[in-house]
Amino acid sequence: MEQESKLGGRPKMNRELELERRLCAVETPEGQGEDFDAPSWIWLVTLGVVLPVALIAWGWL
Amino acid sequence: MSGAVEQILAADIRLGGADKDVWPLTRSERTWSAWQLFITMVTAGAATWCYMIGEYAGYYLNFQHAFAALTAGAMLGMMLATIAAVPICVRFGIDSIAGTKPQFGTRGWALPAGLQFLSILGWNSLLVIFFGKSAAQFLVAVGVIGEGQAALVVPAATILACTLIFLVLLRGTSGVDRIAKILVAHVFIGLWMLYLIVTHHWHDLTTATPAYAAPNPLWNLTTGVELGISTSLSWWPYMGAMVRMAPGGPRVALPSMLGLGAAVALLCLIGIAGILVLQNDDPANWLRTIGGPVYAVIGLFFVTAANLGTSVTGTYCSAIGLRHYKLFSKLPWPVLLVLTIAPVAVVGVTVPDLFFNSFGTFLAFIGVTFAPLCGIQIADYFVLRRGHISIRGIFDTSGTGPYAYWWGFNPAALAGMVAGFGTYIYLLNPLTYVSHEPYEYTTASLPTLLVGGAVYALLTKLLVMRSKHGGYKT
Repeated sequence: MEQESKLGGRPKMNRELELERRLCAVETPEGQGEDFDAPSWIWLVTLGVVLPVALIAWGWL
Repeated sequence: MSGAVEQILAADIRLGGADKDVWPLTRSERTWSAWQLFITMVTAGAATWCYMIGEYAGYYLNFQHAFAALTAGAMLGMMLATIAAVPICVRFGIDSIAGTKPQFGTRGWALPAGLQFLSILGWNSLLVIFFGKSAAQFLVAVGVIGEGQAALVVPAATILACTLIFLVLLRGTSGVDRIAKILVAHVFIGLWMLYLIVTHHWHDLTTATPAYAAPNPLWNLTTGVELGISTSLSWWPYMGAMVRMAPGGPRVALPSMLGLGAAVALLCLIGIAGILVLQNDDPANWLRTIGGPVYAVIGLFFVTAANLGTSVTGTYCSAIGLRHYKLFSKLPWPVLLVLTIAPVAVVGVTVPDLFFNSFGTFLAFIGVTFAPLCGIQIADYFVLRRGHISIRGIFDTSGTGPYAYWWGFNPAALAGMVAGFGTYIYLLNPLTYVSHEPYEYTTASLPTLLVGGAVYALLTKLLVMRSKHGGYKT
């Protein structure tokens, strides 16, 4: 039974308690993952907008 | 108890088995570094589809133009898929499907979940069939079996691939991580293959003309960009399950852009070069032309390894997506894996040729739907909610939660999907590539994404917010 629970087949009550524990953990700002920071946005815009525009211009010429 | 089972249980205890469920992962469980995520994404991205996409681009564009257009489209599409799927998934440690509940509702998520399942099932079936064929060719090339026995080996190799995927995924994300670290070596073989064809056939490459180029050069360039965008947007179903293992957006942005965007575009060059110079996009075939049977064996190893790595990641993402259905939510992980892999095995063994010939049509239409889906998520997270999401609401199935909408469905999201789908089909038929204005100036995916997001935002403002549904802050 112990082994089955570790492989995902949890009893209903355990599942609900575990979900509740996790929701409480990630509801707080410190329990959440960070959003994209400024360098992330710079990378996204550079590689996702600036580079494509330059490549299309190069391809068109 | 065997050592393997002990290791699996040890990994489960460390992660609490949460990586095999749809629950939010806590900060302490999200341990993947940017480097780990990058390797997993490169391994997932590099597969047979790179040659197919490169082949299509090579039909319309020469080498320089195809490289420019496909890379531009892949990077632009990857940025859009990243900003659509990643913020909500990486913030709460949830997968792509859980991330759609604020937009589609506590029952409406079944639409993106169905699209995810069918898309990954379709691609996995294709890749596993390719795996079987490559393995059979490999055994013929090294003299283990004769040409006549190859047909018998294909179904056996398909079953072997499915078994390997099952065994690897018993470990959950640690299995995905480990197999990626091994199979990522094939990317270097791919780069070596690219080096070979460029150095051996540079003159041919620079002078080759595409076979089916349209009279309008702008149309050709736009079609190359469109191929790149639609390919990258098709990563949406895969992204959540991977990025939720990272602790935050800063560790995701660059791996995502380079691992799925740039690496796929780079490997597509193999297909472009192959079709332009040798009129053959299969690297195993043209490596035989360049370097004889030894090179062909290396090429077949490359294709086999590449498709296995992608199938492992795809199956994991698909199994996690299935967990959202009540029917599958409490199943033991090995049983869920069997249910996820079994359809792939059945298709690969019983109807591989029929699937090859007809399922491409279905996949073409399914791929179209990810553009409006991304538009809806971007509009919702960044414009309408400005990042305010209730994680408790996502897992609230009571019917009275913030994302219950009307009987669990949000009509704004459904309308956005329909409007986006219609926009794409009007601009570009994904099967015949017959297009309508202003396709050559806009591509098809970008207007589709914009229309999907705009219709969603408009209906949300006019209908959903006024009805006090959706948990929006007004």
